[in-house]
Amino acid sequence: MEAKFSLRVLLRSPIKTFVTFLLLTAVSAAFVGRGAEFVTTLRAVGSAEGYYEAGGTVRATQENYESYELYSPEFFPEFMPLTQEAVDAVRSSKYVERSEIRRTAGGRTSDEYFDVVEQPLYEAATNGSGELLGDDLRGCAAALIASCTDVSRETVKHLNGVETPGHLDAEIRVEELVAGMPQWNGEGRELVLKSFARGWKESETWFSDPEVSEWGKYSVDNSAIVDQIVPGHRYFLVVEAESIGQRPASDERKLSTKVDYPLIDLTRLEEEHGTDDWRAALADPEKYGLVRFKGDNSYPSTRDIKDKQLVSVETYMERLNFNAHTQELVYTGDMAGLVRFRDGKEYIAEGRALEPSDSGNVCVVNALWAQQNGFAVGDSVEFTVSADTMMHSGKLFARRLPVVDGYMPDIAFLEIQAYSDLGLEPVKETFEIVGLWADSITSLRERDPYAYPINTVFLPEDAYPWPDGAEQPLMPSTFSFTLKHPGDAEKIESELSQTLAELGYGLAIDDMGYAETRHSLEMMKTSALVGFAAMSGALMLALAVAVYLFITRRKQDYAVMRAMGTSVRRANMSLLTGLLILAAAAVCVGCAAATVITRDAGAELAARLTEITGEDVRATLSYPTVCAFGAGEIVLLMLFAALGLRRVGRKPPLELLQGEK
Amino acid sequence: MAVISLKNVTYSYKGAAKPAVNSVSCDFEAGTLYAVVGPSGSGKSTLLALLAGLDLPDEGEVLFGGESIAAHDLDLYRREYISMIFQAFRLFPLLTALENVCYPLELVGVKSAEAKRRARELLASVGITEEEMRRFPANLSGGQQQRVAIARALASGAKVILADEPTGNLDVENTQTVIDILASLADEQDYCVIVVTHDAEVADMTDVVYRMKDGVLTRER
Repeated sequence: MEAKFSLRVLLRSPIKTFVTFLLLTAVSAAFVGRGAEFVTTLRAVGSAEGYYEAGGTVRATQENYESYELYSPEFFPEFMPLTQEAVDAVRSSKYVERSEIRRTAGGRTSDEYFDVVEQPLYEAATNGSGELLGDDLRGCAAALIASCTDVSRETVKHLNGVETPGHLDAEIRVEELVAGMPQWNGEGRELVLKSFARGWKESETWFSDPEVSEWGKYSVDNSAIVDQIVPGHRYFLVVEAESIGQRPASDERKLSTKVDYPLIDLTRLEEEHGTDDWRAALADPEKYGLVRFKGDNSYPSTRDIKDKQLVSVETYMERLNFNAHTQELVYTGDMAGLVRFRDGKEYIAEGRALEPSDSGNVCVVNALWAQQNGFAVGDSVEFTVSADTMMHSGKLFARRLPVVDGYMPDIAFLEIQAYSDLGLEPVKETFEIVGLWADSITSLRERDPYAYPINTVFLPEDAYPWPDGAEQPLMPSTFSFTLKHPGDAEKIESELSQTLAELGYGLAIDDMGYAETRHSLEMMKTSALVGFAAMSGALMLALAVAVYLFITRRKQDYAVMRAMGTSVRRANMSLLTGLLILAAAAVCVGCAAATVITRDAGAELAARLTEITGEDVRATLSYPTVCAFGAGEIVLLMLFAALGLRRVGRKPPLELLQGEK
Repeated sequence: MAVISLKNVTYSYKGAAKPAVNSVSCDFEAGTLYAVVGPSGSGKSTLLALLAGLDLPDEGEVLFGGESIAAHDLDLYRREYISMIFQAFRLFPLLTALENVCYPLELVGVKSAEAKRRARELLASVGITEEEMRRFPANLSGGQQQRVAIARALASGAKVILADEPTGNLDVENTQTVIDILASLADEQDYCVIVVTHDAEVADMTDVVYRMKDGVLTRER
């Protein structure tokens, strides 16, 4: 009865109904459109902000390097150890979301595992390439490398008075080197062995030294080295490659003017990971080939041979010996905190990640590696673990900071001997596999340079094989933290700068450029909020008018109903039903209109955010959001009506009737 | 026996210096047409409203069938035991005459078709034609509207009709018609009809006349 009464009233006052309908429709369209836009803006800006992550590490300042002469602090203050006090200071900050101490070292498994894993690489590398007989080439090159290393180090020492990383140019035609190798068929191939000098470029001493005529053009004759090759001695080859075109540095431009063929610079390769470089080489095996040699029981050296075909991967595989690491061991207290895992680039495919509570002999290995070697979660695997192999192999210890590369100082070449002096011996340990990790990008060629190689094994922090009682230096790159919000960078700086300065440290924070974009993002949010607030105000006004027209203005009917014994609830429904039907229709039309009007808003918003952030930001107006705002409008109307009806409903009919006299 | 009674009823409006109804007691019986007369502001309409259960007295009781209406659901009391007729008719402006009369019927649960049938009978009984039944109140004369209001009052089946200045807006002819209808209801159908009026001629046509002055009720005739 209430609905019938209400509808009759609605239909029999068509002008009022139509005007109210138009008013509600217009306001609905504006309100819902602005509301959806506002929510979409918040989401999109939030999403855009999600691209930013602020984090960093702690670096020593120049003032405290005297106590760490071992690390050549005059050149590498960034690599001075951290104190636990400095680490604790950072960890106690309320702006720090998570932090971790992580060490990366080399380890190895038994050869059987390794061979299986690398088989695809081996096959790809050797497919279509010429086969070199390893003994001869290995012997020649290794001798050459040893020679170049000695010469360069001697020279650098002489120039600076300290042992400074650096090399001199050493170029030799490999045809000369391989002339004595009977198995080598050098026909149609042009091999150049080149070591590129990279001195301390900023050093005035270097350039003023009379023995150095011009940086980058210092040559030595290595031909005599060939004679020093000892047939039968064991050497192994490490294959690494990188297209010279990928290097932005000016060194390549200099080099490329000197040679008219693709050139690969091994000093650059010192910084890279072997497996990653393989991918570059494998991508174009007909064009590039590169081998790096290392003698038994010697520290790695920087040498290269360039061939027009990839060579000697097989040799590398065969000759990899005890000194080389076959696994990268990452000791971490919080595996989920690693940026690549947080970003989803790497993920746990089976089992679980290592957690801060983990200790002892548990590990997470690569899923592909496990599959190829027949391992599963719950199995045990033996690793020879070491604390310092990675340092010796020339890899930068902190290459995989769980933050962006921008935190790292510009280090072209570095050798740090600190850990080698500790004389730590590798030990064999058995670990239970508790999880398998995988890379979201399955193609080796598409994986980015910072992807963990498939031979990476994650181990608990306390598995790090450090002698009991020995001081365990914390390298800056082993400690990193991330902030709760990228906008907290300045706050934590001001909070900790004094404390850390007194300890001789400073924060190195990178917010990925958030500070520059923050204002724009805030403006977008504010602008959307203002529009939404204005439309909310208009909506309130319109609803108030509707309630006035359909409820307040009909108090006479209400009074008569009540006088005739109609209950408050039924009297309310008699007035409200029509208005609700009218409002629902208006909101539906308004929502449809809002969808049409704002159909391009998402794309425009995405375009603006993409322009601001440089990331591919997506923003789409969602229908559920539009519907939610429409429903919210109805709820708001009911609230208004309830308030209006509550006032009249509480009055006795006598008062209502007298009020209408 | 009294159908409806007042016992020492006092009622004041908020902020008023004097009570609108001051310690009034009286009984109203079935089959009688009552008139309550008095000047404007004397409290007669308030008295009627208290009888109708539109509000409860500050003091005293309104008894219906010997029981205080305060102890019962006032909505139900108004819906089923009391009918009101107003001076300004107070018909629903956007309902037709027929629909206005259907309203109290449907309110007590009568089906729509049956309600229409009975409403037609009631309207016909007060002289409203089929064509007039389809009109909205604004398209009816004052007398027609008041007759529709009477039909609406009769529709609920309540045996007590409270009419507040039912002829106040009517001409002499229509006044006579309305009073005739009300008198016949009292005489022939045993209704208890209480008419508040300031018209002496109307009062003369009733069985019992009460006078209201300064909130005090006295029987005049």
